[in-house]
Amino acid sequence: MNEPVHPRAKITISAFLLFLLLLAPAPVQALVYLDIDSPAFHKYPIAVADFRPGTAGPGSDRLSQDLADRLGRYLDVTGFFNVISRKAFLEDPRKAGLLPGTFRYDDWSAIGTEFLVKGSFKVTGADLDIEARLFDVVKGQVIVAKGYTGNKDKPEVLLRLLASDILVALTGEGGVFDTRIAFVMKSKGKADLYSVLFDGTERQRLTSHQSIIHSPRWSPDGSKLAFTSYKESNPDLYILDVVTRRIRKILDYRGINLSGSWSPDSRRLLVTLSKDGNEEIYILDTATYMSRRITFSSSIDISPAWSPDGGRIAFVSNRAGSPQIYLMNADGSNVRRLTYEGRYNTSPSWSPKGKRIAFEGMAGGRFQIFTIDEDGSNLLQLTFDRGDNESPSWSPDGRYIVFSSRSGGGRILVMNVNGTNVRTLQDGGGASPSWSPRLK
Amino acid sequence: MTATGLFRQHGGSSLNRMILLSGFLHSLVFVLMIALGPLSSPTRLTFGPVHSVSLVSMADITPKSSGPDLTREVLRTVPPAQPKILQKEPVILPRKKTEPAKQKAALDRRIEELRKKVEQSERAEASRPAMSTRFSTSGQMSEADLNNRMGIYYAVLWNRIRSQWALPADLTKGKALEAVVLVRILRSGEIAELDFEKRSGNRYFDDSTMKAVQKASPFPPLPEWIPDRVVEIGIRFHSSELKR
Repeated sequence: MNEPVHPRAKITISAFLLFLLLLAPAPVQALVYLDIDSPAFHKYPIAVADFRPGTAGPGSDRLSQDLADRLGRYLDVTGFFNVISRKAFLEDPRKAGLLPGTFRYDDWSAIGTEFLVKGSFKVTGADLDIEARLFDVVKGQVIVAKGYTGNKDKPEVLLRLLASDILVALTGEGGVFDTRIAFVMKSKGKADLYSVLFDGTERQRLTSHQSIIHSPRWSPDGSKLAFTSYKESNPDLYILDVVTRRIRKILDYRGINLSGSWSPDSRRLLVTLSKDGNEEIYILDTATYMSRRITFSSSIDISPAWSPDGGRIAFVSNRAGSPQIYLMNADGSNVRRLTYEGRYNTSPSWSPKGKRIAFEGMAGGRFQIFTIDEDGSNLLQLTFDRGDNESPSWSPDGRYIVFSSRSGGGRILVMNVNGTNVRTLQDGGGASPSWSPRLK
Repeated sequence: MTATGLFRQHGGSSLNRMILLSGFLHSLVFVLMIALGPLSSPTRLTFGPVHSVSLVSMADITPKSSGPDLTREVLRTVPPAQPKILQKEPVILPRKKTEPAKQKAALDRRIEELRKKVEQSERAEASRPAMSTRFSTSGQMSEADLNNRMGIYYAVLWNRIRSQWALPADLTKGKALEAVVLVRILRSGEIAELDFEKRSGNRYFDDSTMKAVQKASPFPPLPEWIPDRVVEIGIRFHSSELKR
């Protein structure tokens, strides 16, 4: 009696099973993937071969090594390169040429480098000509080929141009080879303003006040440097013309006249004045010397820093009890608190690329450098050592931060924005650094 | 009415309907599982668990700082080149002294012995790619054994490529990036083909991954027990740990 049912059920079931079989994935040998989670090295390996003299003359051997060494140092301080020592080189410079095809890329890739700089130089009278090529030895390509002409007594100028071209080719930006860092150098209680090149060389004294000096600030066009000095006993505001080296006293109200940052057009300067009772923030027009107050609170408002677009200002206020960083619009409206971590946050500095603000904050009883997004997220502590680290200032490309440390009697240090590659620019009394824009 | 009567009258069509419905629902679930599977875990689909386990352990064991040169040297000694030199000397020597037949026979015997020895040592060497020497060379290798051994070869590749990868952290701007490079490796260990399966969109990142593979090559020759003439693998590079 069940016969009429079963065959149909069987057919249905077997059809269903067949269907399932079709759905089952075919046993194909899957491609194997290897996962690599982070690079072994955070710097590009690069080799700089000794420069070849175009004309053999006295001292040309020394110059050929010297040029390579200096270029290597410039590349090294960028934090992007691991410059390979010439002791590791395999190539015989007497047999190998400078042009592609006249040497073996293998000689260089074998020592672990990815990039190679080869160059030649020629001294004619007072002129120095440098011709250089940057090779990608893994791909076997020329990336940069360029000539430079300058004064034979200043080969570093040409090498900085070359280093900048190499950096542009390999990282997309030219670096900070044409920038200086101004800072206060203290000695026996007296101080003056100095500046050094990005790599700590070529130190220049900018003032001879022999008094307490605070907060030097470069104008974005690089022509002026504002600072506060006790030269005449009161903390007055001065502006140094970088080209003429002339210094003018701008404000000498009773109480403090403290320089803050410049507007993007280099015409207005944020200042902190206490002429009206307590410390408040003002915008000073540097052409008319007229100042306009933009903060109105019974608490201390200090350390103003303009955003790169000029639309907002970061500043420090103790209106909530402890010093914290606040943001406001450039006209003083829309004040909102930025930092909530820690009980002491000060010295804000706005990244020239926008979005991120560096400051010094108290952590574990010491001042350390932090960065934070302008919306208050992504707080990041960059320094951790036991010296107090203060006064952060960004490089114009936004890749580095200069700051001062109280350890060792005062030092000026530079690090990459992620806190790595810390190097000392200045020992023995440096404080309050300010990074210049690119100088022509 | 009996149950069978009920069954007979209405059950035929209702059972069929039930089976059809059940079949439809099952297949629907299967289709959904297959369709949604890759979406929910895209990284797992092609990932052999055997390999990933051995990769991690190998990475921990292998000294990272010693770099590619050490690995290369260690692996280069694996192909049995030296035993063959041993073999040549006894072959050449007897040809100089070919006077007495006795001596010749004895020599032949010894040569034969030597040859056997060499062959044995060759076989032993070949079956020692990195870690395990217990595999017997006779008979077919099981799939698990093969996978296990492939894992060892992959671990060597992983370590070599990783130790060549150089990229400044600033260039990824804190973003999590991923690039996948496909490599086809010849028996000799040389790269036959190298291409992106997926680019990260950051040219410095992409460039550095391609370079890492190029710098790590040529790879060790494929061990004898690998049956394929060409091995293809994908290498996924991540910047996740660069994030700071």
